[in-house]
Amino acid sequence: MALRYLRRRLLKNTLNDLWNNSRLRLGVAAFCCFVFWAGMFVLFLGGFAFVEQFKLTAEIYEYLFSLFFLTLFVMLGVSTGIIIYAGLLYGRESAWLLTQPVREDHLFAHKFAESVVFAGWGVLLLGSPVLVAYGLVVKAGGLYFLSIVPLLAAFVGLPGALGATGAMIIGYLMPRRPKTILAVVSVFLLYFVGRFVWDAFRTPGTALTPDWMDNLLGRLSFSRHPLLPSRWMARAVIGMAEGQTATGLAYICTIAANAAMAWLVSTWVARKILRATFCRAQGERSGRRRRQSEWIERIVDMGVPFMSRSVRLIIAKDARCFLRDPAQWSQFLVFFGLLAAYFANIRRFSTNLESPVWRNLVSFLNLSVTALLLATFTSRFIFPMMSLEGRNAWMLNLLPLKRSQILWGKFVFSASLALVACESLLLISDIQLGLDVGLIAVHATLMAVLCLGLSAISVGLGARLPNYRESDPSKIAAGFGGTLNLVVSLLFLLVAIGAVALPCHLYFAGLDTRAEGFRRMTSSWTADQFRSRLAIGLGLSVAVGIAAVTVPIRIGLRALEEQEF
Amino acid sequence: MTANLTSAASSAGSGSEMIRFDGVTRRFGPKTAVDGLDLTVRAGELFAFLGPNGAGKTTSIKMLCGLLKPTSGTITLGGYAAGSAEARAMLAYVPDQPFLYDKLTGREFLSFVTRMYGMDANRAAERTKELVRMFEIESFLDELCEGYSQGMKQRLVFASALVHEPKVLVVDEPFVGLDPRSARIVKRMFVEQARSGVAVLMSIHLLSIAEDLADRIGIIHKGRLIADGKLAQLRETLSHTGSLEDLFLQLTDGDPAADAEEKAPETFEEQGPP
Repeated sequence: MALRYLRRRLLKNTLNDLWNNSRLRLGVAAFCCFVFWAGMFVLFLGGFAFVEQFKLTAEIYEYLFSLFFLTLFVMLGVSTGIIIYAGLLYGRESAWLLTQPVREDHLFAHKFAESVVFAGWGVLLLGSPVLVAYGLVVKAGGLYFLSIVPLLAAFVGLPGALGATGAMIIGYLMPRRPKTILAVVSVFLLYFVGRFVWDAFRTPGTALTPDWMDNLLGRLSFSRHPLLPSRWMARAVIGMAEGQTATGLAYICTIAANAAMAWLVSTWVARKILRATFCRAQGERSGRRRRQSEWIERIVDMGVPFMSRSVRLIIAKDARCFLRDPAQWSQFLVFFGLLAAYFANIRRFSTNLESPVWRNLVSFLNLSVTALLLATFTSRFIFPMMSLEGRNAWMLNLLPLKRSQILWGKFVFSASLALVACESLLLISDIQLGLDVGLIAVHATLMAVLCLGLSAISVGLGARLPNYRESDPSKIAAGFGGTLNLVVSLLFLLVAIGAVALPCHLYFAGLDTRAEGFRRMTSSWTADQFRSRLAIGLGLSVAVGIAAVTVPIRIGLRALEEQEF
Repeated sequence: MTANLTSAASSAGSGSEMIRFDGVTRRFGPKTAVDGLDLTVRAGELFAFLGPNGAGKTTSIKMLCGLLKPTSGTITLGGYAAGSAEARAMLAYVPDQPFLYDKLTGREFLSFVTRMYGMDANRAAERTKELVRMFEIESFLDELCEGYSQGMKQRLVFASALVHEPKVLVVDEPFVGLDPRSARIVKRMFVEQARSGVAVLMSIHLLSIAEDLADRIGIIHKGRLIADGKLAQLRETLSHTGSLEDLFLQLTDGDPAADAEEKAPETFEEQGPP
């Protein structure tokens, strides 16, 4: 009862605080959610309309939903497990509550409720546009639309409870290896995802023909195993949409009953082992001695000899922190590594790369994906850096160092890392696609603009909108400043990439005999005209890039100089 | 020497045993943080736990509160195993970095704690009023905790620790961030609690406060309790006439300043005349 009181008061005070002090932040968050929801809805509406052209649509839908919910199931299980592991075993709140007269299973329930509410919100945002789009395409009845929220709510509990139970058991059995466990789980997941994607891309036959579809579905048959909850979800969705209410409700009840059972098991496990698991986890102490890593300083000295010694020391310090935090470099390595593997094998995945229009399209898609990934990384890891540095302001202010040098140091660190990673990826992609040297140079220039711009936006806005109270970088990134940073970064990408991609696409589409509309629009473009239009586009991108570097950096510098710590 | 010093503890205090460590050892991998700790604190006794950084004070306290399990040995509170529901019901623990919910007001936080202990609403209100007056926290009690200074947080945490009238009070570095007035309030509170029959165990670095307040002093060094008794008893046993600080430094690897002075001429000779 006391914990219910706690949650109620926390929710009320947080909402009041947001409403009274952060309406802009609330508005931006609501707008972003709406844009995301609408985007997903439009995308899936088009996708389902496309599927409707095929025969055996019910079977295709079952595969699609089975795969969709299987992916969600794994993501929810892993994310709830991580949240419970970190929050329950390492959180200060848990440490305090464990000294109070709170039962272990009640404490677990309290933390579980928190994580499930977060997860549930994400699933609603991700799942509801898909299910609404599907309902509209297949002309489902009102009962179907009413069942969407309870269906998703029932679903969230099951992977959440399994993930939480797994986290407690892992914590109990292997208390001193949280990072190793995370790395092993990530490798396994990546292996299965990679293998699935590999299999799907290697489906024999011409893409989107009935034979090809038949082969593809055969390869995806694992997702329809009758014991998988994702299959129950698929059956429930299709049953409710097709008017087979009894079937749909039976599956919803099956999911809810299993979720309830998993929840009971997890609370029982918590009662039995939570305190012992907490003690074991607290017993962890890293006695590992770290070497000086002087090679980092040597690389920085060689890489940016034109920067002052102080700035180079800050860059080396940031590089050292980055390398010693597996949460940062492992995500960086995993996502950029996956992209590198995909780009290196891109010719195996597609048979249409002989066509200039497709080649151009794929090259820009690859560039955009790389830039999007970079934008999420700069928002998640670079934006919080100035906030975290502000917590050490007592020390930095006393050093013989200008405040502006701290900001420049962050910028150079971020931009260097981004340039090396993104330009390498781009080169792999463009060489594999067989683009000519001129276009590769254009892409490389554009990518350099994007790397510098995204780094500057994150560093500048990070200094302008810092959060010195928070020590957790993920919470800083998830706050108003982080959200705004991501939105600005995405807008920057849209304009900078669009300015170069548009003339390229129009020109190459014009060369394609099948693209009548484009040919009419661009048939008069000679190669020289294309080059001049491309130069204008690239010039525009560079101009936007210069603005994206100078404006946020100036804003950040001014804010930093005026900042009182 | 250690045996002589620790035996002095047996005569201290007259109440029943509320805290008892029996041969408690705690290892972290190859490192032994606490090594065969035997200690009792009686009801009505104010025990100061001293020791250099990393000596094992916080580890011992965490084991007492049930946040860490001993590798060997047993710990009881009022006869109940540390960490059990009964032990927790009689315990109040104030860690060195106290936890508060940023988005609760001080009043809501106190209300939450009284509810957790299942206190009667009238008694809870009465007790809250007493503690609010004692710690002088009325002026900011209805503001969110996120806006509190370190000292304000510390006072609220003390109030929340005492609201359920615990029989054992365990505090880790209680004077960090407190201004002189708040420190005086807390010191007075410790004495009052002990006189009312509460067993108080405080881990502290401020030797003068330990000297002023404690009924008994224990010094832990490298995981072992190397001295335990009333200050006068410790001085007598060690034939020591100086301050507690001198005594502490004598027991824990000597005085670094004196060491430096001793070494200085040697260094000078090595360097040669200017």
